Amino acid sequence: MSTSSTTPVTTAGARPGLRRSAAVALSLAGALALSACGGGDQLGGEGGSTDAAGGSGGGEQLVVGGATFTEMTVMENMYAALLEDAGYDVEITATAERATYAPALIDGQVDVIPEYAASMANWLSADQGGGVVQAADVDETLAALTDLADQAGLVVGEPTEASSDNAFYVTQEYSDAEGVTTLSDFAAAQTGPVEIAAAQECLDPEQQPFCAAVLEDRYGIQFSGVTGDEFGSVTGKQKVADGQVPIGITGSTDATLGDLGLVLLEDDMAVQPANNIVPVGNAEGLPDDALEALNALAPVLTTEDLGQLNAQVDQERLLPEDVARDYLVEKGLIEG
Amino acid sequence: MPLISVVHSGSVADNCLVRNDWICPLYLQTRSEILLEALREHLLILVLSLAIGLLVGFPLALLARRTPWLKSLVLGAATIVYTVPSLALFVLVLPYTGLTVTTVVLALGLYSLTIIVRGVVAGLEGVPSSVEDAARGVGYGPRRLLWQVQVPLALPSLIASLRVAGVSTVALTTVGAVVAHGGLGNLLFDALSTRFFAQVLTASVLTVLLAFAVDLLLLGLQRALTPWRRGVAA
Repeated sequence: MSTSSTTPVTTAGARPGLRRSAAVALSLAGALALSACGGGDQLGGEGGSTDAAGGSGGGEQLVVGGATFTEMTVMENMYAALLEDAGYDVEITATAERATYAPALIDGQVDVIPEYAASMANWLSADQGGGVVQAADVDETLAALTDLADQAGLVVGEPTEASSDNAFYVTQEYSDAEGVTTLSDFAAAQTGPVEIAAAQECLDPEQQPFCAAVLEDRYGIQFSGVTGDEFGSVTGKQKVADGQVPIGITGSTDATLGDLGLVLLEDDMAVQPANNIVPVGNAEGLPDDALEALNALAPVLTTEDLGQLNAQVDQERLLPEDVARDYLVEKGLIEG
Repeated sequence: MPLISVVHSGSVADNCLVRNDWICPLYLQTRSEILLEALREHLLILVLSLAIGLLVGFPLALLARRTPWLKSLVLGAATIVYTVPSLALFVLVLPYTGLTVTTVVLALGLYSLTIIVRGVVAGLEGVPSSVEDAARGVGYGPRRLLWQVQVPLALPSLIASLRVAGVSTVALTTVGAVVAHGGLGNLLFDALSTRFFAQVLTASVLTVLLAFAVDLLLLGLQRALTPWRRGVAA
């Protein structure tokens, strides 16, 4: 990687690790208070440490949340670096599922998350009892997301060009042998339901309308179950590579498939929605200038960039925070 | 589709991280701070959970000894709590305490509590009644009897329960990764989903070592506190 030589890999004193320990200390104080008083009520808003939000910048603490897979980890670290650059004290608290981190954002424990526009719009819509948001167009999707976010007390920043849609892969060997290069080809080649390397929520048409549900409706692919592997996880890919399951799900920015002998199937009916990455913040917890700082990524980050950053983490095993920081420095968004 | 992308163009270093070796010194070098931080969180959760377990469990055990129905109530409740899976317990506590270390500490404190209550009750029941009678005979009141006779004699059983609680807490802490505070578990689960072998091995080994260390430390504590039992197998 070219950037690591020009940028110090560690900068003394300002690593997230140190701040995280401060956060742990705060939580420790909370735990002690609880064990001493024997009641939980006074801890209701303790997690966020954002209740005192009001002023901007000046070392105020912000919590960046979101998912734990590589792409989102890189994005969270970019957000953290941008917010630190804007004068905030940042902590990252990421969890595996949208079902835990999205409610944490809504109730203010987390101040901002990087999100996929269409996926988040659909999650919010389902959460508010609405139907599926069908929008392959970025502007439409963003308009829908902004409305839904507003209902939930959230604010939406500007979308990046980088978009990571659900994408489905098979082995290169299978693709070559059967001539399967598109999802339609794949559907035609199946004789019965297939298992897919994906997380449990893929089967839930409300939470994940563009996972199993859309493949069944539009392509006629029937699913018998999921392996339970996280979205785009290496364990899921390994199961497909080993032939345990025929197909898996990942992001269209995945740059590690080739090494494992896997290949993406083309979404020939263009059923996947606009999943451009966009900052979604808690309206009360995230100051305007902080959202402004995150919007700086919008004209810069491309899908190709994101794929390369993912590969630096998953293949070269560079630290996500270094990868994120180096990229921002290279693009002139923060000082080196 | 651009695999092994343009940015790298042959410049990908060949090291144990890139080769994804199980044993990788470079991993320890580049992640020492992260590992220490995770270990610190793991220890913090352990100490707080055991402290809650002991501080709440001990009085509960004393209470349980008052009447038979209180005893069956307390021990029955403890057994029921212990059968709740840790993941479910984290999710139950989550709405009140959020994505914080408090969530993990509360859930694991509750588990330790159930183990410790049993240990204390069993220990106190094991005190020979002849010894208690002798103490009363030489004028010990209830309080002195408890602290100077019954508790010291119950210590081996109490500490045995602490050791079980300690080792189980070290293991269960990793599950705390579901609420982003699992100590070494955060590293373990991240590494499992990205097949990062050096991290899987390092985090697992550190977890096991931590469990051993805690067990030995508590055993040492017991030896130090019960000098009259030296020479008796632990």
